[in-house]
Amino acid sequence: MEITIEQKQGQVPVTVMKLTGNLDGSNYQEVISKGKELYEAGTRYLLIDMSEVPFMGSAGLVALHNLALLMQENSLPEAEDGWSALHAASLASKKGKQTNVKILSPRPSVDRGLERTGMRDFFDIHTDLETALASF
Amino acid sequence: MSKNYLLEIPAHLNNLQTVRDFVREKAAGFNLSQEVLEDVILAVNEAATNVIVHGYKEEQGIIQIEIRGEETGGCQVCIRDEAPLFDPTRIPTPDLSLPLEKRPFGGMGVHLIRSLMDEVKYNITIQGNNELTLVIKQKEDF
Repeated sequence: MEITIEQKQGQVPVTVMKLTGNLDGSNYQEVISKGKELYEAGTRYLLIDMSEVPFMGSAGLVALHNLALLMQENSLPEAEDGWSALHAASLASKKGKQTNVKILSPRPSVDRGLERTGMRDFFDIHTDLETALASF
Repeated sequence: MSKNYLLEIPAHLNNLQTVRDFVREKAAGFNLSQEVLEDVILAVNEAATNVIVHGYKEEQGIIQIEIRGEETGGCQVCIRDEAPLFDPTRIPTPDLSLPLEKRPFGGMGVHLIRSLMDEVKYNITIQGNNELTLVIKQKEDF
């Protein structure tokens, strides 16, 4: 999977993380690691461009979940602690749809996965970049 | 006459793409809609991922995928492995009403399988191995 980063400006600085390729158990930790790198560099608003992600398994949901909580300044276990650590982590609370991480143009099959797991309720989904940037 | 296709592959996360490609190629001939085909691919991906991560704990092992088209339409996919016996159909449904910050990470694989497939069956083979069978039936409106 290729991850490209671009800095954009909406009402706030927004980092656009574009994912290209399939997102599954073999590479979801790369997305989390990149997210942590961005957070440490100061990113707090993240737009994940999924227009070039033909497939996302449930591991991709783990990555999105991690990024959403990371950008809300919740602490997370290290990715190298493995699946179990990520699975077992519990986090501080802030109710409702989070607004720090949004998703751009998920493909229909990816969107269905978000919907079926209830994860769609937690992310603003946009189909237009400018609208997405302005929404932060 | 139904057709059977078999893939046997090392159980490694880097082989998930091979598993998906195999299902995509073989199931394409079973008269499934594009949406249903994508559902089958995702379900098999999830089952295979669970075998690799939780069954073999990312140690060495083999995973076998057998896909069969049904004469009445739809298809059946069997995922077999030699990891310690475990019945994933017993895993409880996750609480989807939890807010994001209270959800545990992960745990959606089996839920996706159940929601995408018409039937999910677990069996122990005569060799004493795990066998998970995923069934998708022909949809009347397709």
